[in-house]
Amino acid sequence: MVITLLSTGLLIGCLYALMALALSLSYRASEITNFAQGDTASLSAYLLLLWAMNWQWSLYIALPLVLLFAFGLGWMTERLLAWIPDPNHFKSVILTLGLQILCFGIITSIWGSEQQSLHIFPQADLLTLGQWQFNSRDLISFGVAVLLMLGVGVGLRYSRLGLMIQASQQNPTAARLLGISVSKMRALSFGISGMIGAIAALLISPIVSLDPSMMWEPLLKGFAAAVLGGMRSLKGAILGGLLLGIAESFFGYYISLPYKSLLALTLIVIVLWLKPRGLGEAKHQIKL
Amino acid sequence: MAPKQFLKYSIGILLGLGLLSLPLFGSAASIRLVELVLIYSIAGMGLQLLTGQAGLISLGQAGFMAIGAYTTAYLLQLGWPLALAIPLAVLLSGLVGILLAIPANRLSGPYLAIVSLAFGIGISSWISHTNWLGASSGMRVLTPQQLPETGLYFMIVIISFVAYIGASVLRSSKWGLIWQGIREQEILIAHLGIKAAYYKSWAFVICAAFAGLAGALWALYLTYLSPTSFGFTLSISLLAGIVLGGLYKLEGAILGIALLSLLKQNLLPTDLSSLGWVLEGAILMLFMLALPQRLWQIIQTKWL
Amino acid sequence: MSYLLQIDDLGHQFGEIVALEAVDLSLATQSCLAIVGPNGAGKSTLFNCISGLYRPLRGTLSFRGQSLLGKSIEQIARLGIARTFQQPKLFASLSVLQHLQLAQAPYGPLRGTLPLLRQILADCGLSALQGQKPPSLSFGQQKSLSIARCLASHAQLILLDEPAAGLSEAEKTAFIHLIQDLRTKYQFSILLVEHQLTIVEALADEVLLLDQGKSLIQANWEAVKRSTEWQKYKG
Repeated sequence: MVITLLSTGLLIGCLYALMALALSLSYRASEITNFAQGDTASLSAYLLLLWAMNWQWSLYIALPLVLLFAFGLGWMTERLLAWIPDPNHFKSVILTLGLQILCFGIITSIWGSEQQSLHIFPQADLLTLGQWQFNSRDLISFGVAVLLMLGVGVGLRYSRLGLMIQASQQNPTAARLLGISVSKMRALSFGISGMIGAIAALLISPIVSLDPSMMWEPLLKGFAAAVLGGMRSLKGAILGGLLLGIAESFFGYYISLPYKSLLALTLIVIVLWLKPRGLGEAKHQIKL
Repeated sequence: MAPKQFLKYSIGILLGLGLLSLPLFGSAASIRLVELVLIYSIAGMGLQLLTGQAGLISLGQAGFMAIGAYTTAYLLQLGWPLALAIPLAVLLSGLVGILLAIPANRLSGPYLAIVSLAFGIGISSWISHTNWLGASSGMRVLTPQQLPETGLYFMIVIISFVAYIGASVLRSSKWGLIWQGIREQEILIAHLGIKAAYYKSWAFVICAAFAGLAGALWALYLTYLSPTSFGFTLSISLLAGIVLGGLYKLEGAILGIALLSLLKQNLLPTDLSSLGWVLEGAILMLFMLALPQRLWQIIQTKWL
Repeated sequence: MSYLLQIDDLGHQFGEIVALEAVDLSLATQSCLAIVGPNGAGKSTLFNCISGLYRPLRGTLSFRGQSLLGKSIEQIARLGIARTFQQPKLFASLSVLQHLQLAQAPYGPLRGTLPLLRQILADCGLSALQGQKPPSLSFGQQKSLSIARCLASHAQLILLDEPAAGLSEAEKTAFIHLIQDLRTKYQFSILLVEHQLTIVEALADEVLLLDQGKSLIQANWEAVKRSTEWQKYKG
């Protein structure tokens, strides 16, 4: 039983971790929590539905196009945020909320609020490994998520662009002196976040099937995971997501299945109550 | 009396007279619509105090409306009179508001938004799994027999009037001043010897109480409660309404909410009602980008 | 003799950087003490320790015989210590009168305070501006408003942080007169940080020389000027 709970927890945790990774990547770039992260991702998933299923485009064309779209949407989010006159947290949060509800409205207007299924994944087969059974689709989505997280980690650490992004996140002034365009790097981070979010939505779609509010729960779980991991730390975000997934699956089995989704919400409230800036984030000097 | 004040009072009196005489000439549908607008306005007034005046984001307004609504429905089921059920619903929402205020006091900006969002969604999610509140299938509101349709209407009109007076008195008192100070420079407030956390907590509690009041009336209006009526989109609608009204003025908030609900209820064709969300999203974004002001500036410099 | 504000052996540091090493200071009731010293001497840190923004790591701080250590910013403010900032920190959306009402708010209801607040505005030369908001005030008027705000909060001790910085010569003279008039009328004490010695000379009863986080000498202006420490500082 423990193994089954662990594996289902890890599987769903991976998806939370992806959302948390996306949120934390854009937060590091701009100190802004992107509330539109969820619904822009849903919009991308619906586009794939339109292109690959309704219009019968090949997946090899539709998928890259959708990812490009998600990247562009993320990029645009950052550009809009940068366009706010005398920006502050309040305005940024409300702007991203606006974008979120805008995307939600667009999805509902075009596709309606009924659930739709996106059959882009191969049929699920049960694989038997010793005494345990695994769903092949779950394994694929687990694999994609892990590869993506590794890819982002390696890309940020070892590629030239990744290092430029890191530099501009950690010390914008110094990065500017080195000739790095900080605003471009910020937009790039948002774009990558958008892409990660879209992939998370595609991986979630076989589990919950497409519906306009499909990403609301994952977004909240992503927030919980990112807050647990310290918001600024990508490793923390991923770890937070995995832990949350596992905790939920154990909570659901041993304590209460219906109230499972409350666990993440409670965690958010408690963690932020104890540590107002999230776990692991250095206390900022109070400045006047 | 200053002309501006005179104008304000005359508009108020005219509006009051219009509202009170509506049942004489208005259709049943128009009465329903006004009731809805007034109920939203009450919740919006609370949000205006918290978000507009004190600058504290709350995305949990729908959750507090749910508490007010479900408390009223539950107490009515137990056979309590309405005159006790509504005040208790308001009180309970306010008390739960303290629960949000405790963590929220220490938070700023994005973290506050996250916590209030978690709080609001948590409440409706908890209701949808709780059997004695009807879980996801909903709960019937046993409206008292002695309350005819126009009775409910007059009750809503009078209560929203009282709520408006209450909110404007608060705004013009030293509380309103302190909230405004907190919105602008919280750290400076401390240097003036004012404990910001205390006034922030009260802002959360008062906002929650207004939402609870709106929820209580909404329960009577809907006569059937379902957790989906108190979703995240309701909180966003209210926020969009007060943003449309300019955020900083109570009257603006009421006007914004009224305008937005009229637009959504009447002008949008029913099969395109989801365009309401597009509209709300666009309003939130346009106002944060200050596009109305920017456009006005361009018009002024180019043509005037 | 008991002092209004007494500081003994105050020390504070940020990580490895020592900002205040050993500061001794005593301020008599209704007097004005100017703190003079080079940039980085620790003047701002000292102000921030007194007003509660920083928690000093060592030493004692007492106001009217009461220790300020462990008290929060707002508790210290309510004891009667108000401060101004180098850049006037005002509320852009509040009118001049509302600034004073807000400052008075912790000490009672708004009702009935209008005559007192109007009097303060008149004394600070701001009567004509009571409905204006800070963005439409001149820099000098903004500085006057920050002082008026201190008076409205019933301060017994006002910390003035570089009050004359950024003022024109005419404004400086007006400012000196303003402070002198207000002092005789409202009887508060002043702790002044100021680079411009003309201002110090005009306002201060005593001068404290601060360097590298240490208080070197506290005496009246003439005595400080004759001291070896001052010669070293100037040389």
